[in-house]
Amino acid sequence: MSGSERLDHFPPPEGSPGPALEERLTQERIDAYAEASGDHNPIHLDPDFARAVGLPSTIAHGLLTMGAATAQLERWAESLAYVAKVTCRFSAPVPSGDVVTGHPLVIRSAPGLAQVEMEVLNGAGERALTKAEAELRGL
Amino acid sequence: MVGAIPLPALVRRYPGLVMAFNPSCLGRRYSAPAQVVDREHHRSYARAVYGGEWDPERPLACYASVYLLWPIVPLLFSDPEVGLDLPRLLHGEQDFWFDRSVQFGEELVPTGEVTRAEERRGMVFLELTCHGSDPNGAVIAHSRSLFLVRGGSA
Repeated sequence: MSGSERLDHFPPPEGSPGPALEERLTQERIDAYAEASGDHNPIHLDPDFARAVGLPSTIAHGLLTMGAATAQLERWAESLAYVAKVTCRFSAPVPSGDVVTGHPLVIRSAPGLAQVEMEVLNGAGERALTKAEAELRGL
Repeated sequence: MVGAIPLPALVRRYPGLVMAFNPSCLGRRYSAPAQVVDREHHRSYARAVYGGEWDPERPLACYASVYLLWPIVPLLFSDPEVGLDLPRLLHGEQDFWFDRSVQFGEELVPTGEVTRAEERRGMVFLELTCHGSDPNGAVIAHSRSLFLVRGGSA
């Protein structure tokens, strides 16, 4: 959990920052995500399997990283807007225990609508999510 | 052999893991039973994704992975007419979009279709597009996933 910032008006102006992301994706959290999502792919849960397919360790689900970044925006805008669209490319793995970081930015603002860029870095500073954007629509 | 464990041992541990890709699977369709967007289950999802206690007013956007995408994905992954080599499979891209805000308690029927299936430069590209419809047949939620298989066909 990164912070408790809340948006006070919608849409936010173009160029304004969104809520910063800084979260450790522990194996416990990856396990909890697998349980909650139903995604039990062994590359996320089984260290032997992960090493066997060439990974240094188990990795977080891409959808967990995407979900964590998007949830920050949703909490930020909760009473004013909802996420109508979210897109991303999974560009680098997030090994278990990594801290993911992101500094979302409002790249478009129009009546009732805001588009937010939300690139996310893994613990090694590699871009884990690229072409990552969310479109917020006013409630 | 892949990494530290011989591939045959992996296949024994996870049966159905390696199949030969079939590019003519384009257009394959899948459907799953109706899914209720359950608030109680969503709480455990939100805890895992948000990393703290928070009970959102509406289902989180990426929760569509639970009620829309994951009911369909196992059907795709186990479909011998598609033939995915799961140890080499990567989730490359993901989009979710909504025609309106989904509410807790709603029931959505997920359907899916293979909308891209090609093998290029030793890599398999497989796109799955899913839609979630309400009991009246109105489509509300959408998902597009791009899966990649390194090394092409098994």
